[in-house]
Amino acid sequence: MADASWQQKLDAYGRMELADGLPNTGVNVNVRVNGSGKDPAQQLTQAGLQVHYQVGDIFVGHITDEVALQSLASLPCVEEVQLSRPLYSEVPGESNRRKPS
Amino acid sequence: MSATKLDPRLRFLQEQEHGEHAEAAVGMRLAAVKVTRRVVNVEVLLRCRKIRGTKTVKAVNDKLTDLGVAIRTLVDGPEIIAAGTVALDQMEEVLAEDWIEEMEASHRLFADLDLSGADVGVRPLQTVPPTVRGANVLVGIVDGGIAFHHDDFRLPDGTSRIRFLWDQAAAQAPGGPVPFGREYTKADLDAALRTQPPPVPVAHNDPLGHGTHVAGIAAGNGRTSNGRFMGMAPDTELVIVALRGDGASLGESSSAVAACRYIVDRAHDLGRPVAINLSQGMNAGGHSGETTLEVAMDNLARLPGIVLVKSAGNEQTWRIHAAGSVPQGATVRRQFDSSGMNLQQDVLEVWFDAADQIALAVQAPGAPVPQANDFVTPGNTNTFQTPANNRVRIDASSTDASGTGDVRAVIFLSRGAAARIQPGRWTIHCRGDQISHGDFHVWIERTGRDQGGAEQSRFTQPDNEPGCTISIPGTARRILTVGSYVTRPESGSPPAGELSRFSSHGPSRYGLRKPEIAAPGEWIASALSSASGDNPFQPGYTLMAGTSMAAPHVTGAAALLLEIDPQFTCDQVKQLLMRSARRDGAAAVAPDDSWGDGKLDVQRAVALARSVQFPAISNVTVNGTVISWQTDITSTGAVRFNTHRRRLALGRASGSRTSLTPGQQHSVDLQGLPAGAYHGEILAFSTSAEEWRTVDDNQGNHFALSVP
Repeated sequence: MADASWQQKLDAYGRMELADGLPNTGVNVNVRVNGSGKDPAQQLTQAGLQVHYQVGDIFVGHITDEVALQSLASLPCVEEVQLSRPLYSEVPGESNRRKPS
Repeated sequence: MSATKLDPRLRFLQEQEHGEHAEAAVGMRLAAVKVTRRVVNVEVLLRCRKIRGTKTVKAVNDKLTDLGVAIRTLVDGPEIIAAGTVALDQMEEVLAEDWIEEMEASHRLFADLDLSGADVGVRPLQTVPPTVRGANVLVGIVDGGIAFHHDDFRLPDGTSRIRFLWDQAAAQAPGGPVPFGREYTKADLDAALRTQPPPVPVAHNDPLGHGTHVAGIAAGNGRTSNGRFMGMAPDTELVIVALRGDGASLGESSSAVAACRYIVDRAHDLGRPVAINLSQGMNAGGHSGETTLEVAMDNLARLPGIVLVKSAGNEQTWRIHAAGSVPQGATVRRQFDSSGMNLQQDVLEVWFDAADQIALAVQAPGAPVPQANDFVTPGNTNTFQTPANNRVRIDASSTDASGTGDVRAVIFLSRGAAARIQPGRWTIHCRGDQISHGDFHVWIERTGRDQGGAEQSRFTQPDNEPGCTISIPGTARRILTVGSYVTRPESGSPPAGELSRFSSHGPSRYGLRKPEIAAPGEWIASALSSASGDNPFQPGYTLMAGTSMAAPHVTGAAALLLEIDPQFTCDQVKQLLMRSARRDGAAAVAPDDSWGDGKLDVQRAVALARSVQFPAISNVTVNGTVISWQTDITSTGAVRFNTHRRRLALGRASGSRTSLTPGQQHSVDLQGLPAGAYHGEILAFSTSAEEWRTVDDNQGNHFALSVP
């Protein structure tokens, strides 16, 4: 049964992406699940998530389109869906690297 | 007592038979040992506490001379460092003086290189039997890649020390064991190192050089330099994950979770403990450990034999954080400057307690002051166009963000119909419609900083709040977060021993102490990836600075502790490192939100690890408002609780009750609290002076109590 508040389970980045249209290549997401229902991995897969890995109540994977995103976020076992965000190396800047002079 | 003051190398020297001292000294690279028929004189450094009520330097000089130390140099400071010569059989008498805190062997210096390893005290562990070098422990590196052919990641027979390498950016091998990218095994790497062309082409390299440098600090064996640039844990084996970057960024949050899970799985397959290093981060989130990335890290760090270490971030000088308090009915403003440049999108996050109704508006440079209906209240979203045709979206829909009970409002600035985001001063307006607490925080997300950070928007100087700048996932509760200090000053650096100016400050938004510890991060000589184009400092090595370089010192240290006990948890390793930290020089202000508990001291940490006994908690029962448990050693304990389980999981207890009676059976009654459902976790503290701590959080579920 679809959850009417599925958009509330997306983070603001997901809602923004949805408003602008998902890229053709899809997006990577992090999903937090609760204990409801059996075998969350199977539920997520059936909703369209290509599950890469699970770490406790967190699943990471890839979603290809808006339909799958809605199906995923509508699952009762899904607490939240966060769009994967870029990480940056922690050197202060290129000036803190030694390049050939 | 004197045994703890004495450098293990000197203790080892004391244990040698007469006639064997000179050879032992050469083996340990001691600076000078003069052996006569009857006397063995050794060059030493003595750390002396100042003697009260005396002219200190002269008094120390006189007393040491009386004790038979031939003084060569005395350096005055917060403590006095004396360099000189002492007879081996005179050492105990010298160390019996309570104002002498430490005697260290003077060792050969290598043209002032490799300063960080010496500073954190790892060299004696690597050279003096019984050595601790990370045997049977894995080091996991999640980064941009590795120069796998570098000699420092190879064994003496030339084969690889890397057990697995997952290149997430490589084309996927059909039927491969990873969901994307490609996995190379040690056999693949060995074949590639041995045979040209290799039977399995290994196209991997490290064009950024960052991952190679980080891996060298944590685990390089110094083979290229005859040990001169040896890393922290040279006998470990490695599991490497190369994240897929886009030039500006280094991977993304979902691939970092996948990377850590992969490393833990491979460690499990090999039956080894693992210390995992993450030297990358972001500012998108509430800085309270609530992001899925951080929850995943905390889930992994709960398991024995798994330690996760994260750089604190270099955000301190970038002015990316503002904070404040909004009074009822008032409007508070925070301003930031956008340079424009070629910036296509800028993102800010505003966080506050959902008990508050704080309405938000954004004012572009030169635009009119927002009117009442321009404000976005919690639960709502608004998108509008600025006079310069930029698009602004304020999404305050998340009123219980990630189950924290907090509002997460994200402000997206994008160029819209304009060529770029308008340069100039932007203003965020926070209006207090209904206020219980009123506190708020704002972070500006990172941009690429390749051009000296010209694209990075920054808060104005008065609005910049220097605390709470730890990058995510460093604000995760269990992960070990590391700040940076200077061991090799370069032009523009603070002096040696001082905190790096760039090193991010804590605490987390929920008040957790972050970073936990500081380690050398400015400037560090480590393995050079030839594909990076970086300038060699010495053949095969280059210099880099950043908390990225500080974290792997701690990762390597954690690997050494896991050699002592492969079942240590991340929290236990954290305690060992924090309680053994040095607080000399500029770190005398520790504990605080920049140094954590002080400077990494691996030698002390290993000594503690050899003797520590952590309490075990068992037989937990909940009966109405009473929670009871047992411990295996005589210890006392406490229950921490919160009505909000997620907040407690992230380290924000609303209260605690203590069981004051030492013993093995404990109980705490929450009767008297306001009626409602509570979630609790149990802490047990050993009754030793160190109060070693064990936390039982019911495997993350917390114990449920109901107060009528």
